[in-house]
Amino acid sequence: MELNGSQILIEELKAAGIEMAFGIPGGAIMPFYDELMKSKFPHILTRHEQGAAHMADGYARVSGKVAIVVTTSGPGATNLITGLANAQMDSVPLIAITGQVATNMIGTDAFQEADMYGCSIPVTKFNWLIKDVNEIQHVTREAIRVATTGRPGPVLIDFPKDIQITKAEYTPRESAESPLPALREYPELDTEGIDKLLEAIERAERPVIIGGAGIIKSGASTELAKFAKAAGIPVINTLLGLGGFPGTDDLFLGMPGMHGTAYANFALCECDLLINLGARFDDRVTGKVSSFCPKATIAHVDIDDAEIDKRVHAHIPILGNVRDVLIALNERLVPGDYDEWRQTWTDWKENYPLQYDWDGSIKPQYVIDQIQEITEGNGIYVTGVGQHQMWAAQFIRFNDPKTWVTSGGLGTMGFGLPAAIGAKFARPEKDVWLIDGDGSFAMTLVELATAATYNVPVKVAILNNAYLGMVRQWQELFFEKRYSHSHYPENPDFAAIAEGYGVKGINVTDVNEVRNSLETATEHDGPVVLNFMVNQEENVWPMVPAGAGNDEMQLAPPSREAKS
Amino acid sequence: MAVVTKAKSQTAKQPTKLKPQKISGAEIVYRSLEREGVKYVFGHPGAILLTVLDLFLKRSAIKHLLIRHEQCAAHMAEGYARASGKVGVCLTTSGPGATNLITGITDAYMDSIPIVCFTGQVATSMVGNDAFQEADIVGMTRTITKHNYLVKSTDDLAQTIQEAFYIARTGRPGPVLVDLPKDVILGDGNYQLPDKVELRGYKPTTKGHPRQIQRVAEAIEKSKQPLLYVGGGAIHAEAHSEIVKLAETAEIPVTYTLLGAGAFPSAHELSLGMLGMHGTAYANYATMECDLLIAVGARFDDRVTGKVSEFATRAKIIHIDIDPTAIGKNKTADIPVVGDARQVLVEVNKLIEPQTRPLWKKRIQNLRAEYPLTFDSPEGSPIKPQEAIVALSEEVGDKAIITTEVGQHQMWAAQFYNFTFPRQFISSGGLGTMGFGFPAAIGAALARPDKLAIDIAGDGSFQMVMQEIATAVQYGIPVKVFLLNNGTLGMVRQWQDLFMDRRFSEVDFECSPDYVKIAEAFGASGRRIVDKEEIRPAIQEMISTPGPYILDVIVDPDELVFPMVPAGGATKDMIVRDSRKKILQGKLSALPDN
Repeated sequence: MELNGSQILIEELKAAGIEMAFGIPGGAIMPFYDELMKSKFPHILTRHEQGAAHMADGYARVSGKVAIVVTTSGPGATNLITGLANAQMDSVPLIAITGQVATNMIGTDAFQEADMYGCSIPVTKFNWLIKDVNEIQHVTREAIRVATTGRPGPVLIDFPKDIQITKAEYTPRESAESPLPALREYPELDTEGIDKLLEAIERAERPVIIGGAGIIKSGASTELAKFAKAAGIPVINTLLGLGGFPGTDDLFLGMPGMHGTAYANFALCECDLLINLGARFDDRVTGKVSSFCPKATIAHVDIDDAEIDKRVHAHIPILGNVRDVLIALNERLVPGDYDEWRQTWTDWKENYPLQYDWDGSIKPQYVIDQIQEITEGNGIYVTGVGQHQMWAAQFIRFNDPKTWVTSGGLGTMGFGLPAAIGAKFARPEKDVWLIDGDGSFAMTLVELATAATYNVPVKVAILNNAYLGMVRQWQELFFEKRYSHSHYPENPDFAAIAEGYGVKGINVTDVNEVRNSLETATEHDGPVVLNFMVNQEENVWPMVPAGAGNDEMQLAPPSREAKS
Repeated sequence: MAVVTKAKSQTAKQPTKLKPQKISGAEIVYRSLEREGVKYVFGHPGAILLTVLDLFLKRSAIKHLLIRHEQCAAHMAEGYARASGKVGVCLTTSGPGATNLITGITDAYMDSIPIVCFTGQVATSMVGNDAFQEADIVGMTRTITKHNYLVKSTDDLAQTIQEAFYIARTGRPGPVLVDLPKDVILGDGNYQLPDKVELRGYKPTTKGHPRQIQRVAEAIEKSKQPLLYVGGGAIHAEAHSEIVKLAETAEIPVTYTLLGAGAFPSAHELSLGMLGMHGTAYANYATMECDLLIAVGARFDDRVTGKVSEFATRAKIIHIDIDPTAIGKNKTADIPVVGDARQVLVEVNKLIEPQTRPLWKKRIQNLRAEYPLTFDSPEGSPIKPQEAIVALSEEVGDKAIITTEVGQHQMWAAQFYNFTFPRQFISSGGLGTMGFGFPAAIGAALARPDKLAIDIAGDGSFQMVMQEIATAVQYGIPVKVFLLNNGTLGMVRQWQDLFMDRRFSEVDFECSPDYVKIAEAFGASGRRIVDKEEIRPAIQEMISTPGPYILDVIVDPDELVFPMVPAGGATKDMIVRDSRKKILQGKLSALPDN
């Protein structure tokens, strides 16, 4: 049958089971939008393209499914860059389809022309500029394959306007045919590496597992739980790995690194075997690499061979899908004797718990604790970037994978609200809580209009300290409290702004109202913004200063009265 | 092209007394900004550049503004540069802070606006590690900056910054990005500068070739129906008085591009207003009839020419531009002149004798009378966006600097506002960036405190950047938003209306925010109007209310922008008025031969 370029692309997306689009139309993508409408492809009209990218990102993180982001050429496309970079850093699959000026206009500095192919090379896993209508079927299949297999990531298809309307003969995919061309999606199992790791486990006295995003993405959390429990090895989850292991389990040591738990960092310093499952030894985890896990044999399981030995030398490198490797390990696991080690880390957990003090003001950690209690760890939790993000990572005890949506590698302020909206579209049956800071929230609050339009019942808790809190913390600690340009002395009334968007807004200034307001928000049928005026001087502890080793971790100032 | 600066070798033994004192990278950045005369820096802090931020607090020569989203830092720097002619500066952290600038940088690149963007970068030892908040911003901005640098040594810093400013403001201006790794900022280096910036391979030609200038003068003298076509380059070069002089002396009608608006007074008897896709019919017809087209600092953009092979086919083309690569790129020039628009026109004007062209002038007058810019506003109809702009123009006039967002309102502003001086009209032309106007107005307000900065906005565009109301409130910047609210992405809707059988795919906002309530929540003021009678009193209230103000004007969503040359069509395909009333099209066949 004869179809135009837009129709072919949509047919291919549908055939691959993709059923969600976020975006904003414009001149160079109009024929595609016309076909989206005719084919009734679900589409969410956002208020800024950055929001569209983060929505698709949030959607993918909780559903494991890929969504498309559609924008026009020029500014519509360049507005995506941060969202693409964010997805690239955190290995999140999404497919951006950007309009482009007609092929004969490319290179003329035409109206709303931008070299998206060039610009997006560093921030995509792969990208294409379609030059011929006959390429579309192949490119779309490739795009889906590249985005969703191996180490996932964002891809971009730059789609010139003339090709959107050019007609070509189209043969739909046979249903019996493999949905994608034959390919090796995952590396073959490295049995030699697995043998070595099994030996090391048997020999070890103080082993630790560090589980990263690879646990979540490969769907390995059940296998991980089986493995850790059978062996009695404690588990640390990186920021992106949270949810990969139950937060309430005795074996759970929390998050490592700059704002990790004291006991996780102690364990890293003392362990003799580190089993890294799908984490990439990011600098926020390792601190100074030379003092990272100084006593340990390091095993590194990763699907991306470029990550192995990149920052930290792996004594036992295992290239593979984390889940496959765990299944193989579970079949032959022989644990060693770790009783002494268990006593050690259990004592650490008892003696150095996460804590905050109580002075009658609203402590941000308290609000998070209460959200945890109300949802019993069964919600989906989304954050912006900064102090609130670290507190949420510390104090929420996740029950399940894919319930935690946060910007790790790029640390994108403003990620939260759109990501929460995307998450809610993916899992409408779940309570979606956005824990955000006022600085982060302000960056993308325009998407409240999207939440209002589609009545997306996300619950927003702004921990409002009228500061860029993490910057403020660094200035307090390293710049003698000179708070240069991190303060919002005239912060807006976020609850009133929410009301202006047609979203329920509540300001909370009294600590005794925290619980009530959270309950009100839960019961409200629609989006809610809770603006908590929290203690402005609260800092995130523990902290490993940037560039220092994990052994130089600072606990909370000792002068403080502790109450957990 | 990216340039990676090389570490200079230090002479091994230097007498102590001659050794220049080393200062920190942050200090070098601050001193360099001071030296370049920078008054405002638009930025948002993050982990990397805190030591630079610290100096903004300790000293007062430069004012740093904490904005809410980095995209807007770039647009504010642009607005400042466009309103003042000086280099705008923004400063952000690495990673998302840097990538958030991309749209603003691209916008500045397309419209040749001088800005310098400083971005933090992770320490050089970490570059390439996928470190926290690392992004390859130099790679990403290669095709959208005039030039960019990743500074690798503190000793290179001072000279790099000096070059960056020089490149941004000279020749065809444009954005320059300087990526600053953390260790370069924390380290110490020499603050040493050459007396003069000398860059091999970069020596913009500003003086036109005398022989070409002679040819220009001769062509003008011989021409019966000349037309001046003035672009943004005329504004950058401050060529406006030379254009007026040339037009009046040789009696040449003038049309301008979107970016050229203000370079020639809109109400001048020789002014034809804007040309192109939504230009005036008479300007477009004049391009079809002229026998000499004098392009000054304009680049024959597709929104101007339509189908380029059918653009100004009867005319000899003179193209004056400082950028030799712009000449002959989209349209072959018969007489190319490389040079600064003002300097070239000064020389041309010396050779020009007074001339009159009564027939051509009469012809233009007839075209103008036959195809005026019009709109209907029957009694009882909703407010028409055009009448709101006419009222604004009459009430505020030359007291205002006008910025716009992108879309229908932008075209109506360009058509109906009476511009009287250069840099009065600030709009995103080449990239067409929705969300540009409001932050640009904040920048413009700082650049020209003697004027009132007004953003003529559409609701789709304004919604993209509303968070910056907080910035305007925090610093008490009295920007006004004249919001033509039709509850839809109007220009897209217009295309769907005309070319897609009114299938309005994903353009209508089913749930529009309450802009007045939101303005007030931010600590600004606002008012919503729906009746025509309220327009002028509301404008007066907007002007007299101190601080930021949002005037939410509810306008007719079915109003379309005309004239319109359909994309890819030729000028002769222009739809002059609303097709649903009466098509006026293809009148050229009735024109007399010349």
